[in-house]
Amino acid sequence: MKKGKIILLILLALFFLIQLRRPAKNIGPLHTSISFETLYQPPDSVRKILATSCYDCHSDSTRYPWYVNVQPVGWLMASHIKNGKKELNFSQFASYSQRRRRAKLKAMINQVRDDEMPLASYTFIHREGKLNEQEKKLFLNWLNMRADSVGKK
Amino acid sequence: MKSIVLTAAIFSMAISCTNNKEKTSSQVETSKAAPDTTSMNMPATPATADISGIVTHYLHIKNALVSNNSSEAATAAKEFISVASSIDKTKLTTEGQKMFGDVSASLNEHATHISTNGSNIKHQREHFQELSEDVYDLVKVVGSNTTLYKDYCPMLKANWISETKDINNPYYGNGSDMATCGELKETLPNKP
Repeated sequence: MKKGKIILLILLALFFLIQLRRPAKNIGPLHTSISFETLYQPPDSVRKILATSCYDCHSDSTRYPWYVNVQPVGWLMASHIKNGKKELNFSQFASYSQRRRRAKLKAMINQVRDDEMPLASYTFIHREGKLNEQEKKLFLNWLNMRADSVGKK
Repeated sequence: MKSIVLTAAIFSMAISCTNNKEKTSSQVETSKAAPDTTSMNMPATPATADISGIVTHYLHIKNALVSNNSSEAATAAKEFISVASSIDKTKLTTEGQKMFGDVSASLNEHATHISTNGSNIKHQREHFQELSEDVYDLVKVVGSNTTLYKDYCPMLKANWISETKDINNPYYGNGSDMATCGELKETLPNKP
């Protein structure tokens, strides 16, 4: 009984300990002169999809829920965001070369078509982020049009 | 009593030692993908004036995909990254340097995806499609010391480069119904 109490207390202590280490938050400007929306002026229906399904991990501005302050959830989020932005950052899309823009548009098409994106672990929590068939079709159509019109040079 | 003291000690040490100020990060990040070059235990590749190393390792990736060998493609991609990063640009012509500058980040990014997806051949093939475009553009300007063939997969609207005239489709691989499906679109003769 006493041993159990000690272990429990240590676990509680560790839990409090890890709360003290907070990763930096991703709260920069979402739209800038070099953002995706500035560049391509997508219709509202596409903007809505980007905002609810993509920007939290793929932009300079994440919408944080209260539980980001509870570790290790915050660390996991920070890791997703860091990797997401490295792969694709809509806030800085216009700074990409034509070549990279085209490659990213095609990658988006592949990932969304195959339901790889948005991540299942994300839409599990953010239900509204999951694309229904209609949204998926709309988004892919628009992306395809975009990709076709972006040359390599 | 002892356990409580112990816990309190750990906790107060933690408070005093850890920086608990919240920071915000709003730095503009570099738009180039950072290369994932973890140590590879390979002999240092000498700087080279031509791109034959890039072509050789590209073909290695291509042939691995033809054989449906995902882990081999990943290994070949790691070697590709290493060779691509050791190209001595200054030895290329002005045109060659410009093209190399245009494609090098892209070569790196796509090869990285191939190298880190040794168990996902589908993803490797998607990035191989982009890699093929980059290598084609580079070879078109800089030239190759062997004859190469640009092949086209009509189902995927994807190109690839081959060292032989035979059609072996890396996007479908051996054993698939589409293993030999493709068209020769262009011959890239060797530049002496």
